[in-house]
Amino acid sequence: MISVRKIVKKFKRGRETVTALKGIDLDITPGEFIVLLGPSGAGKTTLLNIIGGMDMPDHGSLEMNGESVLNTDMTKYRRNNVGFIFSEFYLIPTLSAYENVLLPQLWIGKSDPIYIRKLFSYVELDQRLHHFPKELSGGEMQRVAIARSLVNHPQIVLADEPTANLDTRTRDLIVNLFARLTEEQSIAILLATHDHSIAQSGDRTVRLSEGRIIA
Amino acid sequence: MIWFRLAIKNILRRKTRSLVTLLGMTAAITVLYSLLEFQHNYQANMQEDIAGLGAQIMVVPKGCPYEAATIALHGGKWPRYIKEDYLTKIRETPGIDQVAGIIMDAIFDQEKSRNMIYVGIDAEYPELRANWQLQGTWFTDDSSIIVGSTVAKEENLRVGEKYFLKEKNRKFTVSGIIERTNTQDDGFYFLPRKTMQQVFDLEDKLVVILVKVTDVGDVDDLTIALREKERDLNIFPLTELVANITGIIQNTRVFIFAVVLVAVFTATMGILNTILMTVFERFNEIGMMKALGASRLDIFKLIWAETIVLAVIGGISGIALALIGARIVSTFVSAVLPYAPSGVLIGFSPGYIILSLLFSIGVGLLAGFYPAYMASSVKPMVAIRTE
Repeated sequence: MISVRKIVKKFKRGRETVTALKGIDLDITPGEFIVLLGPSGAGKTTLLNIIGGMDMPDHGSLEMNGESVLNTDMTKYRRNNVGFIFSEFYLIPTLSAYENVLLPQLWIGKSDPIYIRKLFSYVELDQRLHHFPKELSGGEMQRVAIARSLVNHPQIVLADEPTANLDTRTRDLIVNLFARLTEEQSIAILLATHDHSIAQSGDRTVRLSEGRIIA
Repeated sequence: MIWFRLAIKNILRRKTRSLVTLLGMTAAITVLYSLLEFQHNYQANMQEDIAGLGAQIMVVPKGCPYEAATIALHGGKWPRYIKEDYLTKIRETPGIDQVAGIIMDAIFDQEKSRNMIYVGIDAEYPELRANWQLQGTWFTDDSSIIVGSTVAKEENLRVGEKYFLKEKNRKFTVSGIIERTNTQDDGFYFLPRKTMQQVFDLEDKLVVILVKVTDVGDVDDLTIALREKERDLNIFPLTELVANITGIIQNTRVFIFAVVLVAVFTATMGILNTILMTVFERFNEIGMMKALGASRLDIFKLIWAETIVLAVIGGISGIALALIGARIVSTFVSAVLPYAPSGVLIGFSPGYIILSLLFSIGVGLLAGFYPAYMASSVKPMVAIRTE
């Protein structure tokens, strides 16, 4: 269970101070698929970054299973609890799909080939284990990125516009995969998008506008 | 191990850039290894050469003493001579144990494209050569010849066989073959001194006189005494020769080390620049790794590993290049030095190989520190957003 309370985040833009998040409250339960919907500049990525431990809020609290996360070792928090998926995939071109997925395990000093193979099977890429990113399609690359985000058994996966670079058919495939993931593996997913068509796929849609939750 | 595999894969991403950086490092380590080897071997070989002479004082005609020493040690033709009478004067000096007068000449063999060195010696000469093992006998008559082991092998000569010196139209009988000494003697043709002087029209002439003293502590006093007897000759203790030549080499060493320093500095900057560029290019990737749980130390290790791998590969190829080009460099260096000792100048020394590799690692650690620090300091959120 992740609880976000009264999160405020301000940025300096030249001489101007911009308030990106204006007191956000959000509870995310295990196995929940939340779609964070809003236009560009609504504060979706900022909220994802704070929940993911990549940025610190100016005010407010972030708790996981009742314990405060802020002011702790954020690297450890990310490593043990959070999976990230980006619109750009960020696969390392010189590593095979398998090695890309293995990479986060390097940071925790372990290697679990059986689990990695299971993940490849889960994202239906069993036959692409040893392919390099340039040999994969956009959808396949994103599925490798999904497997990578799951490899250290996170409690939550944060996906920032994961379907932005994909065609409609592949987008649906990826969204269905997220839905299956929450159902079968009890992993919470927070998916930020400006694409309204994805909204119905989640268990819940949180609409964000100008730094506030509006619905 | 995975760190290094990852590092190698990253280095291979920009093959041309990595190759150019490697070339810089290779050149620096080639120069460094060659210089270390040369410094060590030059002095050791020279001392071995001098020790091989079995004498403490050398007497040569006036002229460049280094050139004279080179001729005396390696053989050759030098159109300056000492009168044979001087041998008697030296022998009469108290404190002198052995005196060997030597005449030398060289004939260029067109067919084999090499100089054949003829050395005229008398019975005192082998007294100075403790390492001579003679197969056969000493000169039996004026037409005898003794040859070094290399000559015997190349000319296919055996004891008792005839040797024809076609340029002088003279036949000799091989009375002895010197077993391998690993010195210049292996490549010499030795003739009785009188025969040599007569055949080569050098009667009563000598090129060098080697003097062995009874008490080594008297070398300086005896040198002064000999100089007073004959002022038109170069008379010097061999230790002085070693010191003078070493001095010249020491002076050039400072300059050469400065060149090495510049080469290493350039290579270090090259590696630093390459790694820094790859860090900039992989900003998003580094951000992604941090987002997925990589710590500052993880990123630091990754970038440092890349630098070290690059530096070590450069180091290994530098040493390999130095070993491959050793003969060419040795030939070149020998040609420009005032005295070039025999033996290998640049060879295989595990100690210097390890030292050069450690130096490469040091360069890698140094060059990689800043890029690794920069990469590790990247904020993941900023890095991911960077275009």
